[in-house]
Amino acid sequence: MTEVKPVIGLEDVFGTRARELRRLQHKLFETYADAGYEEVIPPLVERPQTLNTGAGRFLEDQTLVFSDPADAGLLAIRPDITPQIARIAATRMQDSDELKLYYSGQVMAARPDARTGSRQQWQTGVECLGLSGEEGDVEVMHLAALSMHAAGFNAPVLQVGHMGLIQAIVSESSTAMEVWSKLLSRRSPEDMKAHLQSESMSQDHKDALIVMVSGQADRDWLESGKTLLGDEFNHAASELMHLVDTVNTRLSGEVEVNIDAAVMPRFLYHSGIVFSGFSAGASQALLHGGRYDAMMALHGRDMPATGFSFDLWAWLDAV
Amino acid sequence: MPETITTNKPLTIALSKGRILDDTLPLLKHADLVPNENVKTTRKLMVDGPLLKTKSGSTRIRFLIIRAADVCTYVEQGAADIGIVGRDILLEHKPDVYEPLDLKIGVCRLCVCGPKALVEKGRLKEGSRIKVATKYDQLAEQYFRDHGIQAEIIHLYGSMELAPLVGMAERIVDVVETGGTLKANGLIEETTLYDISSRLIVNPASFATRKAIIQPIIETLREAVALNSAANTTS
Repeated sequence: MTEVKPVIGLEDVFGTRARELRRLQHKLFETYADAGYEEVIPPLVERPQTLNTGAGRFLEDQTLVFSDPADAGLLAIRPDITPQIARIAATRMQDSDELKLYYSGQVMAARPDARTGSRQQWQTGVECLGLSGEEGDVEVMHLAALSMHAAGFNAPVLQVGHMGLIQAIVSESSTAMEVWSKLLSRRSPEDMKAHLQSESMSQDHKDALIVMVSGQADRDWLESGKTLLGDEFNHAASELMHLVDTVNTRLSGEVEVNIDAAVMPRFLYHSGIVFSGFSAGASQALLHGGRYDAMMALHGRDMPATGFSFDLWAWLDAV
Repeated sequence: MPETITTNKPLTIALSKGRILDDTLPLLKHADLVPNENVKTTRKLMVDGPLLKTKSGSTRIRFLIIRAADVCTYVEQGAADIGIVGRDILLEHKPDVYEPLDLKIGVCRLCVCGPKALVEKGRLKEGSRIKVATKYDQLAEQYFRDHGIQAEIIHLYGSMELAPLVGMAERIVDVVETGGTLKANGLIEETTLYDISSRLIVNPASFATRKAIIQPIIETLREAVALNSAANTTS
């Protein structure tokens, strides 16, 4: 008998693990349905340009593309479901002004994750489209916190930032946002200082970036920085503080929601608020979300959009 | 509820074995993070430390004494909350960890080196083909690719300096501290790729969920580093 080797980075799930996954999935679906959300089930494959529109280079690098014998074109396996939701909202659901959708399905990356060796995720998430800025942001963050609580996260923390803050600080720099995002994600003041030597921005702006990578860009700092960093920064800061306050009053302390201006999105398609969810004992952030209006516009429907997603398997391992 | 869970779990600090450890311990002492046993002589891999008082209760500190290259892995996987590791390893492996503090210890350089006669012939031309012995496969590959040189990377676990002597490689990429070993083996530095020192690294989820314990440790160590470098410049 010939031995069939398993495909790199893919696994089968059965027994207890499959049952646990379905139980958790069911619990989350109930939470979303109670909040007025409806399920949407997109296909596994898309045209590559659908997945890449407004999604940045990172996602393009992670997309597995193959030729379609039936259509004589290229098809791609989705590495992320959000662009599919954007497509659906801009085409088949264009008659609804307001869309509240949730989804749960497998996605596949072209390369194995360096830490886990896995190429697959059971991406589950929520997208809120058409609801004005504040209303949509608050609703989605609140739902993210409820999800973490429902899943039984240990000492859950939702860290919230705002892309408007970093955009305001580096608006006069020609360095790509991808580079800033990497520097902020590494949180190394030394690396940031070394990079800033070749930037010509004001000292106040440089100091702000150092504070951000030092893990001290919290609420107190936003309040104290108001006079120095310009109107665009102040606007984003006020919006962020107001949103976090509103979410905190809606919650009754199940989840700690706090401000960290250095929170960066996983994929760089976000514009307004951006957030990450953590559970004590899990090694990395388990939930990512934020506002992505620009992607909607590029899909041909200019409407506000906020959402979040997570990997059900990673959640299962964490709780 | 969260308080009791987090305070009962020890805060784990992964330390690199070897020479760095001598420079690490005084910094830890400044932050009152002293292991209960002599970590340089014990054969235990996990050693308890002090009980750290915080606003929300007290937390036991626990130390892991492991190989430098493994510190990244323990912290990235969340098995340790904090670690101390050389920048060379962070650059090579690019783990998903925070790097909040340069400890300014274990200072050295990551260099391309080669036999004196070869290096003195001048820079390698674009399109040339060489063999490179290193344990930094990614960094070496990237450097030569960026310079249009086709490099065959030969991975070694130590004593890179030997490879050119036996004709197995024309260059090595390795950390250089004093240059003594290079000189003894007839090699010289060609280029410095990075300045290296040891860094404090923190697991991102630990930082988010245990910030009240971790941030003060970072700040105390920052003071210790400043005192250390002040002492070094005056002496």
